[in-house]
Formats: sequence, structure tokens, C-alpha cells
Amino acid sequence: MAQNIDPYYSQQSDNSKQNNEGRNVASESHAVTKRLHKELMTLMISTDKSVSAFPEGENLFRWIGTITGPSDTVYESQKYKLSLQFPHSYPYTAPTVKFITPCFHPNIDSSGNICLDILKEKWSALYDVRTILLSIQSLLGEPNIDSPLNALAAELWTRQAEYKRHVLETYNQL
Amino acid sequence: MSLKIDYNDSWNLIKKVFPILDESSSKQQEASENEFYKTLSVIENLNLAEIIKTMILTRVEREIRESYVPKFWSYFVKVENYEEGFFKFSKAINFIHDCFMQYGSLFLKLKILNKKLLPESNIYGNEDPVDALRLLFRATLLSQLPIEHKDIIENFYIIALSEENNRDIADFFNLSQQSENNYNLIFSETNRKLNKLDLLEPLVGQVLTSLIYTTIENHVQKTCKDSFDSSYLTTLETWLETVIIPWLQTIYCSEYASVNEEAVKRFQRKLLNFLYETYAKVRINQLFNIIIEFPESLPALEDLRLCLQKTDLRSVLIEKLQKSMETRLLHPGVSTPDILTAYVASIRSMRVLDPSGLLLETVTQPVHQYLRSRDDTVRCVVSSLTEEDPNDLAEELVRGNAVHVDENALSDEDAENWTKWMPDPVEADPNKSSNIRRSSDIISMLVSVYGSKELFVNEYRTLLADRLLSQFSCDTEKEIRYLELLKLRFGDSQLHYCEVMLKDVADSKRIKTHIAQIPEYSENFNMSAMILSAQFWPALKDEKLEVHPKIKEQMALYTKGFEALKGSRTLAWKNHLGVVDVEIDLPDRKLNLSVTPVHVTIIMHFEDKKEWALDELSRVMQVPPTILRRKMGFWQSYGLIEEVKPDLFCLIEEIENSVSKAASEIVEDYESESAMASAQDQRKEELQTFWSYITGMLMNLDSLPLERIHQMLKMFAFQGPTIECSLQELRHFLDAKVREHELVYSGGLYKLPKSDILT
Repeated sequence: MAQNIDPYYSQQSDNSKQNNEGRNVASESHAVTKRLHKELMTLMISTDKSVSAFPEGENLFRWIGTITGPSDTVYESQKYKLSLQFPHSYPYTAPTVKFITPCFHPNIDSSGNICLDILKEKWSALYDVRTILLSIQSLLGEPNIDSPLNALAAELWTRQAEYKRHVLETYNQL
Repeated sequence: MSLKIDYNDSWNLIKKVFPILDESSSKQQEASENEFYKTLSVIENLNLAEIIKTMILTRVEREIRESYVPKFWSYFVKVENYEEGFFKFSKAINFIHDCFMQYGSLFLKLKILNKKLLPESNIYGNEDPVDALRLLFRATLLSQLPIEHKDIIENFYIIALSEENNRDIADFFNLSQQSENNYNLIFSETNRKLNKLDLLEPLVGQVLTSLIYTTIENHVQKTCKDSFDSSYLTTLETWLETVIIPWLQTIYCSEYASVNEEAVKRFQRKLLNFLYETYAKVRINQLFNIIIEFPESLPALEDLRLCLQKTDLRSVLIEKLQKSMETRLLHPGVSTPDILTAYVASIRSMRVLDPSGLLLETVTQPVHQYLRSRDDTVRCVVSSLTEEDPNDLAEELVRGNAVHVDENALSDEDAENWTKWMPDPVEADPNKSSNIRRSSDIISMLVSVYGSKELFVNEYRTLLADRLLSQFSCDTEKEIRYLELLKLRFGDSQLHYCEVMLKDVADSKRIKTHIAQIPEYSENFNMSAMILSAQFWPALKDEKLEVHPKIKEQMALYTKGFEALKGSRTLAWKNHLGVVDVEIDLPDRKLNLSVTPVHVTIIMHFEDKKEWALDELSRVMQVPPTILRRKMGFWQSYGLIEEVKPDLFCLIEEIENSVSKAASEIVEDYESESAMASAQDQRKEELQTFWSYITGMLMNLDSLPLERIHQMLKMFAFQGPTIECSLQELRHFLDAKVREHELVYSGGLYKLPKSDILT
């Protein structure tokens, strides 16, 4: 758990170093940029094309991600777009990830919010954009029925044919 | 009696004194002095002075206007030659002078009348009626000025001037010709008369000035046409002082001169300035040639420098030179080394012209830009820097006064030379220190064409690698010398890689002797390996080649020897690089050749088996058939291999009658290829990394315009060292991708093809 503590915040509690704050913010933000640049590079170089992400505009802290539905599931060959928003304390705090493309899924609500433990309490600084996207991709095929955001989807999960109809309906809303 | 005046008598008397008032113009006897004074008293009595004066003037004016002036101008007709014009002009002047003189006595009388009876009045603002008469003549003449009058005047002075110019020669031959004296006489006489009539400046001045200007221009052109190797400025100055000025003085400074010495002096200064200007213009037009001929043309440059200080032609110079450089230098027809030579020459000559370096900076700006657009510039610079035969750049390097390219520090020397300090010209950019401009030497300027030392050093590295690998000799002494020289200039850190490379070469030699001493190592044939530290060498060209088993065996042995010697290190062979000396024993002859590994592998395979199908050999050697066929062409040209059937090759050991024919047919393709990956290949690889970014970008953001893609790449992808990609280049790259159907371009936006998104 130790790696989850942002040295910046732990430092803040130390009163003697408060006057360094300004400089720390700058260097901190630089470190985040550097990390995001690096993540982008690994993502670009990787040969796995089922997940992908790229900064949305000039702001390095907002990305758009794309995941392809895993094969052998009802989501197969569908492309879902997601938005990723990185806090300045990244990677000590998890990014905010939301679906842009409407998705019918037990753990995804109608406005695209995702219920996934590693984006919440189980976040670790060792995760990166790629692993987040891969986790979400696998979540599509293996939903957590016990804590649904979309009750209808959770209920239908057992009846795959009807479930698939709903999925396609939602996906084609675009 | 006194009241009863005989008006008739009085009028007759007045008419006799002033014959001009007599309409009948019958010849009358000249009035005596007595009669004149009598008339004066009559006029006084009758209070007629004003009227008489006006009458006389009206008559005179009419006479001048109606007969003299038209007759005068009638001399000014088109003439066949200059000589005719010369005499016509002098006749005309004689005529008008005579007319003028004719009024002499009349105006003398008028003067007395004026003085005695009308002391307050004047004629046209002149107290002296003679002056008024001059004014009258001048005004009337100019009022009837015909268009062609200038031609005749010009003729006159051209003849006179050419006489003047020839006089030296005539004196020399002691030819005091009658005609020449004649000319001179008429000339000075005419000028005297013109001066007397006060007509010189109004009538002739303009013509004379332009004539002198053309004369100066012609003289300058004639004197210094196409010859840059001596200074003409003093010669020209003397010419002006000894020929033109004295001539002007003879014209202007006669006894009646209204133009005094001072004015001629002023005119002389003006002419001198004009001379400088003309000369400078001539030189500026020739400047490109002058630069090319530097340093032989140094005197001409010195001249031009002096002229530039006295005239205002800098901007003209810049414009002209840039233009001539563009038309004569900066186009695809000129080879890069030639441009560089011209560039170096222009740097040197601009230094002469303008030590502040500003001129240089402005003039060479387009050259810089152009050189930047050529791929082979750096290569040319580097190779000429290190070439053996002497050239400018190599000399410059050897001279090398360790100036660092981006040295900003002020040198102490400045403080010492403060008395000689000169401010920068006004056009100078105040943001740039003049010190940099002044101190930068030629090599630094060339390097700065690219803006970075890294690029330059990289190119040097490639060149060095190429040279080391193509020579296959371990003689690095010369290269080390150049490296040391370059180090002085660019600093050790930049050239560290090159140092390692040279050390590799030396080490390879050492390692070879060591391996030879290892007992397990045996040699079927003499082999030496160039062992390169991959980290430090530029990328090598990558080609596949499976060498002949015999060679492979030997290589394995070598590798083993190396591993034994170096512990945890091993060798990765570049099979396609290198050179092999082969001796081919044929029944009827022997061949001794230096060839590439590919060629050797081919011939060794044929040694094992006399007939090979192209496909088969291509498989064994792992070389594409097209390339293999080309390489076999080499042996075909030696008559060793023949294509007996399409794609079936056969070894021929004895020359038969048919082979000699083949030898002449097939062109040898033993091209000397560079061992290095070409700059283009490297670039392609770089762009390939961008491609993954671009696909990532487009996959997530759907479609983007070119500018956005470029901007995004700049923000997120250009992180590595020296990787840059212009908008233009990116467009080419993307368009190529569109042609390969990897991208779709519509409505100014690029996107990934649909199929790719769905699968």
C-alpha cells in the first residue's frame, strides 16, 4: 500500500517544508507529464491493437481511449470509446474513466460511469493506461453481477440472447 | 521760339540717333555725338524719355523675336555627322553674337539716356540696359526652343571632348594638326561668346552635364570591364582630375565667366561622387564574378569597399547580389560542392567589403536556406573538410583557431582594441551581438547552416564509418589527425563516438593477432574481422545473405576465438559487408579479384555445383532473385557464368568462342555501395515510429486535419533527439499512406479506413 501514498501529499503535512510547495507543484506536474508521455509511448509501440488511447487535444491530462469488445462475448468487434481524465496527483490517484459510447453492461450506468474496483479502492500506482483499458475490456466479458449499476443488465445476464439484443440496441444508439 | 518746337525736325533727329525707330530703314549717316546730346535735350524738353525707351525696346524685341531667333534656331537641324553639328553650332553662336554686338551702340546710347533722364527706372529689373539685352536674348531664345536643339549642342561638345581626350595621344605623336588647332580655336571662341551672352549655362548646361555623365560612365565601363585583378580607383580619379575638370574649366572660366572657380570646384566634387557611384555600380553588377574569382579579384573588392563608404549603394548591392546568386547559383543545375565553393568565396569577399559581417549575413541568407534544402550539403562539407587534396575548407580547418561554434563569451581582445571599435551599421539587428558576427569563421558559418552541431557531427560519423569500412585498412593515422582537428572545433563530447570507432578499428587488428595465436583456431584462408561496437557506429545497411558454408565455418571459428578472448561477449556477423580477395584458377587462365561477399558466395556455390537455377540459389543464399541476378551479372561479364536457359545458370571454365561476346554485352555492375544505411532509409524508420502515433491518434480521435496531426506529433511524439518532421514531409508521408490504402483522406481530414475500425 505504501506506493499508493503520494509523496507530495505526505510532504504537505510536514509544516517545515511548506514553503517549498510552489516548487514542488511544478516539479510534480513535470513528473506527471513525463509519466504520461512514457505511457503514451509504450501504448503506441505495443503491437496489441485491441486497446488504444491518445491525448484528446493539447492537454496531456485528457485522453480518449478505444477498446474493442473481447472476442467470444456479445461485445465482439464493437468499438467503445472512453474518456480518461488524469488528476495532477496521478499516478498516486486513479484517473476518472467513463464510457463515451453507450454500453449496456451490469457495471456501467447510462451516463457511462464504471464500477470497477481498480479505479476506486484498489487503485495502485503500478497500473497504467494500458492495464486500465485491458481491465475494462475484460470486465465487458466478465461482469460483476453482485454490485450492479445497471440492474436490468445484471438481471438479463443469464439470458444471453436477450442480453445481446439489448447490447446491440444500446450500441447502435449512436 | 523755345515753345515752338519743330516736331518734324525733332523726330528726324531722334530717328537719326536711334536708327531702329526709322521704319523706312534707309541708310543714314551715323549720328554724331553732338547730335546725340541735342536729341537728349529735345527728349528731355518734350518729356519723351519713357516713351522713346519703350519704343526702342519694343522694336528691338520684335526684331529679335521675328528675325534673329528663328534664324538662330534654323541652324539647329538634323545633321549627318558630329562634325557638321560642330560647325553648325559654332556658326549659330557666331550669328547670335553678331546680332548682339549689333545693338552695342544703340544700347550704349540707351544707357546714357536712361542714366540722365530716368535715373529711377530700370529695364526688366536690370539697371544696365546691356544686361537687359542679354536677358532679352536669353528669354526669346528659350521661348522658341526647338525639340532637337540638344543634338547639335551635344555634337559640338562631343567633338570638343573627343579632341580633348585625344590631345594626349596627339601630343605624344607630335602631330599638331591644322584641323585640330582649328577645332580648338572655334571651340574656345564659341565658349567665349556663349559666356559673353550669358547663354552658356541656360543653353548648354544641361546637355553638358549629361554628356559628362555619359562620358564618365563610358570611361569607367571601358576601363574596368571584366578585369578584377587591379585597382582602378586612383586611375579613374586622376583621369577625372586631369581630363574632365580642366576641360570644364576651359569652358566655364573665361574672361566673362559668371560661373567662378568655386562653382567648378563644387561641380568637381559632384562629379567625383558620380564617378564613385558609377564605378561601384559597375562593380556591383560584376560582383558575382568578382566573388567567384576571389582572391584574384581582391583589388576590385578593395575598390568597391572604398566606394561603398562614399556612396549609398549598400542596399543596391544586397539586392543585386542576392538576385545574381539566385539566378546563377541557387538552382538544381549547380552541384553542391560548387555552391559551397561559391559560398566560401562569398564569405571571404564579404569580409573584405564589410568587416562588421552584416553584409555577409544578409547576402548569404538565401544561400543558407538553399543549402539547408539540399540533402548532400553536410556530406559535401564534411568530405571537403577531410579531403586529401588541398581545398579551401580543409585549409580552414587546419588553420583552425579553436573557435567554438556557439561561443558567446566576450573575448579579452575586445577590451584592448576599444580604440578601433566601430559601431554596427544602422541596419544591424540589435538583438545579435556584433561580436558573434565578426568572429565567426567559415566553418562555423557552414555548420550553422544547419543550426546544430549534432547533425554535422552525425554526418561526419557516417562518413567516417563509410571510409573506415570501405578501406579495410587499419591505417587510421590520417583519420585521427582530422578527428583531433574537429575536436578542437566541436569539443570532445560531440566526437566521442568517432573516437570509439577509430579505436574499434585499431582493436580489431589487435584482436586478430590474438585470435591467430589461440591453438584451437586454424585458418583455411586468411580472415580478418572489423569488430565494431554497435552502440557507437551509425546504423549499417541491413541485407540478408547466407554465406557459403566454408566461410561460415571459418566465421564460427573466429567467433569462438573472440569469445575465448573476451569472455562474455560474442560477434554478430554482417555477412553482406566486407571485401574478399579471390583467386580463381581456371584451366586456361587465372583471375585475381577483390569482390564483395555476395559475389564470392555465388562463385563458391558454382564451384560445388556447376548448374544452379536462380530460385534454388536464391533460396540457399537467402538473397532475392532480382538482386541475385544482378550480382551474377558481374561474373557473367567475366565469362564465368552463363545463363544457358532462362533462370538457369551454368559455370563455364574454359573460354569458348561465344563467351567473349557475352563479356562485352553485359555491363559490369560493380557499384561502390555505401555500407551505411542511407539517410533516406533511416528517415523512413523514424517516420515509421510516427506512424504508430498517427494510427493511435486517429483510432481514438477519428479524423484530423494535417495541421492537427503535425501539432499533436510535435507535442507527444517528437521527444527523441533530433527527430523533427516538417509539415511538408508529413504531408508526403501521409499521402503515401493514403496511396497504400492505409489512410483515407476526405474533406481535408485524414482518418483510418473503415474496415480497420470494424475488425
